[in-house]
Amino acid sequence: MFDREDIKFWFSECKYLLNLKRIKITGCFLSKEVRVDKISFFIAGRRIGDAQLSILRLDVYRKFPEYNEKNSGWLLEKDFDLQDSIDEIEVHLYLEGESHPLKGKKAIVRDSHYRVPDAESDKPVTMTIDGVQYGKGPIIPFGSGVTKSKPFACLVICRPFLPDKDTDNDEFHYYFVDGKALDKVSIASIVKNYSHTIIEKMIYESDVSFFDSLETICIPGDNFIQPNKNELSQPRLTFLVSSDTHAAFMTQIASHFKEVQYIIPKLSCKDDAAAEALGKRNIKFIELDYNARECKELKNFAPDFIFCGADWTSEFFAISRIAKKLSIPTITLQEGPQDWHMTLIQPIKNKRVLRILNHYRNADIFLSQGAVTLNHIRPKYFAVTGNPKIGKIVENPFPREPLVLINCNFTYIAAKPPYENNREMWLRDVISACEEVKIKYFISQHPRDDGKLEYPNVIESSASVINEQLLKSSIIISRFSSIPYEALARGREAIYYNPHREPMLTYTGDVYGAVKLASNKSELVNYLSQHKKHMFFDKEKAARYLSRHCGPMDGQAINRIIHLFQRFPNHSFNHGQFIERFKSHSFLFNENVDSLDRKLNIAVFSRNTASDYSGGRYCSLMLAEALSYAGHKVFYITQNLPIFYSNFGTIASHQNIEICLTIDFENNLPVYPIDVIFLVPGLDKSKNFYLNAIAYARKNRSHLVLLNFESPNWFNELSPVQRDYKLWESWALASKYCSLILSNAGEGRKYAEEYYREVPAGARFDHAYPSINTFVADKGLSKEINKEKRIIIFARFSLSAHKGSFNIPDIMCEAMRGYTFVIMVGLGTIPNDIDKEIHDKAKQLGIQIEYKFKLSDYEKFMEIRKARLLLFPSFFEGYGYPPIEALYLNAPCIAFDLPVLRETCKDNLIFVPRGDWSAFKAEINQVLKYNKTIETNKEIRKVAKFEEYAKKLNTIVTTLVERNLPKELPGFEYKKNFEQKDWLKKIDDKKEMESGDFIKVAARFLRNHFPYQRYEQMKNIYINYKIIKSSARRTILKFISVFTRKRKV
Amino acid sequence: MKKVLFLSIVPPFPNDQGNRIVTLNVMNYFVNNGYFIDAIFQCRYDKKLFENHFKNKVKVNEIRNTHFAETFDFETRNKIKELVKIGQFNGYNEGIKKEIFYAANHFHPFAFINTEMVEIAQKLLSGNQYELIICNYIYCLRVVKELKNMIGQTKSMVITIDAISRLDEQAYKFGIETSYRACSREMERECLEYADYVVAISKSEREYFKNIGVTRDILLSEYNAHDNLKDISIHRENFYHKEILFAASGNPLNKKGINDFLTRCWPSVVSRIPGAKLIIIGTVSQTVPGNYKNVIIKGIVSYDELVRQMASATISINPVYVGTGLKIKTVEAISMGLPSVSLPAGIDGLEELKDQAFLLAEDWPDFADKCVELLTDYDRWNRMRLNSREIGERRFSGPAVFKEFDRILEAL
Repeated sequence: MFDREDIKFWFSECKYLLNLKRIKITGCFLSKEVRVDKISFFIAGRRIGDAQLSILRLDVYRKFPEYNEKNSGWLLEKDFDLQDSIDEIEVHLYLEGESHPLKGKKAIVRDSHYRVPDAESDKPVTMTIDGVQYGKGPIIPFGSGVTKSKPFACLVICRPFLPDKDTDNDEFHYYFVDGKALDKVSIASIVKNYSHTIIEKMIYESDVSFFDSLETICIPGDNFIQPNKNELSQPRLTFLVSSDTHAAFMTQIASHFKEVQYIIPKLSCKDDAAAEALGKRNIKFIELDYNARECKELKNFAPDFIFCGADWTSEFFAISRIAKKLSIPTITLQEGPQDWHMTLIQPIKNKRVLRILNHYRNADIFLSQGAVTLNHIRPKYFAVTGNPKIGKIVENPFPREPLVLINCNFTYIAAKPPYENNREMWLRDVISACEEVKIKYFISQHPRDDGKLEYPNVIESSASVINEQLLKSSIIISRFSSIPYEALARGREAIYYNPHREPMLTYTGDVYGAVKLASNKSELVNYLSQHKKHMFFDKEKAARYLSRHCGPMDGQAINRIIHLFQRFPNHSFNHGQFIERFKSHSFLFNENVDSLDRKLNIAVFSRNTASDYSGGRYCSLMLAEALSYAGHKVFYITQNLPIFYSNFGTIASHQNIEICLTIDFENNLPVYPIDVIFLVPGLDKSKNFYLNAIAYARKNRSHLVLLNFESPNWFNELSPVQRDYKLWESWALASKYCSLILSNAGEGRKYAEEYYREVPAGARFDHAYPSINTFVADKGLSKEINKEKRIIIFARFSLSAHKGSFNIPDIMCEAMRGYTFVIMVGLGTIPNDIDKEIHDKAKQLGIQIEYKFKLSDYEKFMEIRKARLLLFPSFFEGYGYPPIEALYLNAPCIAFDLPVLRETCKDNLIFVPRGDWSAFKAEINQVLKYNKTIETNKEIRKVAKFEEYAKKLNTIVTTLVERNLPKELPGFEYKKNFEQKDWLKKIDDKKEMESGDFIKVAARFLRNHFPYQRYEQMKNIYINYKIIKSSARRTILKFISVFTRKRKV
Repeated sequence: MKKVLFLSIVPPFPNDQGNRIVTLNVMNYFVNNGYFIDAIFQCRYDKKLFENHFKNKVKVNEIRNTHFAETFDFETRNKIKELVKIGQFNGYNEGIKKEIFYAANHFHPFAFINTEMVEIAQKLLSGNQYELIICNYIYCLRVVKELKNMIGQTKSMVITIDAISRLDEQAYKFGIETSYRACSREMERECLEYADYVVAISKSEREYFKNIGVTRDILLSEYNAHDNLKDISIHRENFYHKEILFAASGNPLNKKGINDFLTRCWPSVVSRIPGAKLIIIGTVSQTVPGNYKNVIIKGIVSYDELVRQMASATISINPVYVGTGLKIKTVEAISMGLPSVSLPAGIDGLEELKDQAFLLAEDWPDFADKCVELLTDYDRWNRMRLNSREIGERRFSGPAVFKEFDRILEAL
């Protein structure tokens, strides 16, 4: 930052699109007295142009309100051909005729990802992100490996090769496989994250039916890989050995190659026993300083590539810097699960520096331990090799009695708050769960966990003893670590315990996997009780899980790595042939997304359960995806990862969304300044969710948008079941501070305008049709499928009297004889009597019944694709996804005549009067009798298409931030909603309350009304002092009187 | 002084359930014909209402009820039924599973009757001369069996109210708790044979008893609703009220019926006729789910209030698709001239009145269609209103209902 008394000047971002040869630099300045005439830019002495001034920057306005300047931004966007990969950008700032050159700012231009000035510069530079200063010091480049220029991600599956400039510059991702031994589990999983997959001919032909059945748009290609003439030539390898663990497996790999070199971090920089381990093996090594700019030994050795472990360490950046100059690719091997979005503010040289670690996306080629990792990151070049530490499952006999290994690994407290500092709370929970279940335990403390544990049975752990400890135990409990994998591989059950909501998507995203997920003590107690009753290891389930997470369980991980290394230098990719082959597929190359002038930071507040699907929650994630797709930085704030999260993996920007897990919507919120907050409400009575969202909006001075699914006046007008207006109280409360009430359809908006009467002056009402998951639907459409004698209905039996599901037996009719009736069950279980009636009637009418639960989007779309007819007998819908999905997939759909469906689907549905079951059955008869088919995909695109939704939302948010914040927002007073009277009444009503009752009531009360840590604190008081012995009521009052206070925002 | 001995497990007061009303009407019949009654009630009853009504014409001996549900036998049988429900016997064919369930569900009808009833009856018989022993429900026939020698030539009559061997289906198919009430056909026949006269309260049950082999004189005596309701009539204007009435006790069959009506039929009706209202009266109200649109829950009301509500309704409904005995609600509606819609079980024994006094629905969509038809087609509704009234007078008045009782009394 150029900061003198009369002016502040920032760079915000600098990016270069290689394929377009266009440079874009943005920033801002603030000055009360001095006038800025011009900002000119020079690169390597060549003038590239002047910046456009007066660009809207509300983030800066909010950070420095005293300047009262909303348009402090500047922007330079020019076509410019950068000849070299590193250039110095010089800026001339003209202040009232004077020129002030700002030298020394550098931007790395390596690919199409934008960069802030980074560790390459000679001197530390001021770090700013969107105008907010975080301090001075090196910063790791930000970028997820995804370009914003393509709406979908395209994968190429081929034999391995070393990257070159041509492949570096295209927009494809390359997945290296061994054509002779396909890892089908990984392939099937990974391609789900890509819209289109091009498969090299020889690989495709090895199993055509397998590739055609994949969940992707499958495009067979030619043989693009050309073996070099001398295919048997041995590669030259350099190993970057950071620790003794690295030394162990790297030397094992190296033994298969003749020409190898070892580099370790200079011992004065870091000593993780790499030198000692190599020394023991009599291996020579080179030490590399963190600040090294060159390495003669490396240059002279001229390896084909450099192999390393973690690619976000200082030693990696040192070697990478040198390797780039020498055009040597780097290859990284995944050593364990990671928090893929980890950003942290780290103290470096007494400054707070924002670090974005970008795990495993800094090296050129990534060797993933399993397919699941590729759900979270999308590297440019990768292969799935497995993890040498977790090669296969070996079942070991259980100890005589249950014994819990508690893996305590809170290792980076100073460096990585906030999740690392929950040790006490985490351990207390786990130990008290063990004690409650009366199961023996020991705590295995990680060597780098420096906590002083005042608990019994603490033993030190290390790489050499962990195996023994695992075998001694019968079950393990761990937080984020690779120990759960290792436990499964040794025949032990594993529980991932995450009460503090660390965003470990690798574990939390696999809801029904072999590693059990617990997010509170009662779940933990439940698992431990089951284990105590019956020590059991489900080997098949563990094998399936590990093969997803850690590659094929065949013990061949090292061999796969060796095989890849042998192939890399001996193969080359014929890019010319590749382009020629696919140039007719213009969509693979076109840039379809409008570039944005300004990227907004947007938070979406949404509650999710750990295991249930709901249309509203699905809509909230769709909203987040669309905003991310439009180029904004989106934070999805929730208590649980939605179970349908992985359905959106195909969208190119999916992995850019940052999931923030929070138990109370008060802690673990993003540290970034947020421009817009979308509040996704639900029909619950927990006001604190809403209050926290409003408070967060107030704190950030951000616009609050209430997503209005349905207002009560609308619902009650149409639904046969009435809902209490009180269920919407919190929605109405939030609306008082909103800048926008966003409905899903015009019909909903109409009622919203009637219902929300206390919105701030200037607040607007708008609507945007939520899209369906068209990227996945398009995959379904790409498959050649004949319609089958199948009829689909979506059913819901919980809170759903208006959904028409209870009438399923009533619509089964003679016309359906010989058909399969597919009942897709969402929320709730099928009541026994309805289930019985359905089956009785099916038997009588000759109909096959198939229930489907919790299908993925792809499975759902494939079902619709196959079906002749979709039934949608709902009496009320706030939007109604299924008819739109049916029309998009060209399936006829019969529905009750609802105004909102008329609006979205026009006359493309087969409408019958609301509630007229006879007419409904008559239409079923008609469609089936005449075997009606439809082609409605084009008609519904405007409503269904994801891109349309993103476009509309983008217009909404960019327009929104140009407006002033509602005056009411700063006046919002954050007072916790205790609903004290109601609760006390409940307690009073329980005349003969046992202490157990009290715990239940009080726990629910306290959990609903206090942040998690405060709740824990109170629970501790209860446990330690037994203060509720006499009266539950008095205790509650005491809790409240002690902890109630008006919170300062 | 002409006297009868009246044994019952249900009281006539409070007269808020079908079986109680039938009990009351039978007792009224005898009192009105100049009989004094010695009654033994194995149940509680509303003494105040009772005394106001019968004055000194009836002497009651009240005995304690059997706490059947607490017996070991009852508990064991329930456990067996539970095993069937949870699929313990899956793999057996349906017939065998049913047999297991039925066997566990059966109790001998006499097991429910307290020995005290037999002892009091014994005392009364030794000190009085009765012209007739009336057993209200089959269970009370235990007294007739055990005191056969004392009773001698005195005739006995059983008012069946229900054909209890038909209860198994309710329990097995719909999970209805039948408590001690169900038994096998053989048992029912055997017990009924102890009586001289068997009174069936609907035509279909009379046929049923014949079919299971009952050889005794089977009389038909339906419900004389017209006597109570002759002064009430449905007016033409009621058509415009768009009010649907359901009045019922809280027995499990009624609960299931109204719940299913609400979830599967009412959404259709109220969507097609937005002004339609459903009024629910009686103890069944206590379990009505959710906040259904335009559903007014009245709860427990007095008989007079019930009649007032019926008099202002447009149609009544009887959405019960399983049950035994006479369909009190349907008969009352017919007697008032209130058109109704019913499922087949709701008009059991009244089939020939279909389309004249009520509409018969085959299933829930049809039920909704029929309700909509009556609420929207004035001519249809009005025709049915007039027909019903006439049928009520002809068939459900006292003289018609107790015609066969008159024959018995003349023969005594």
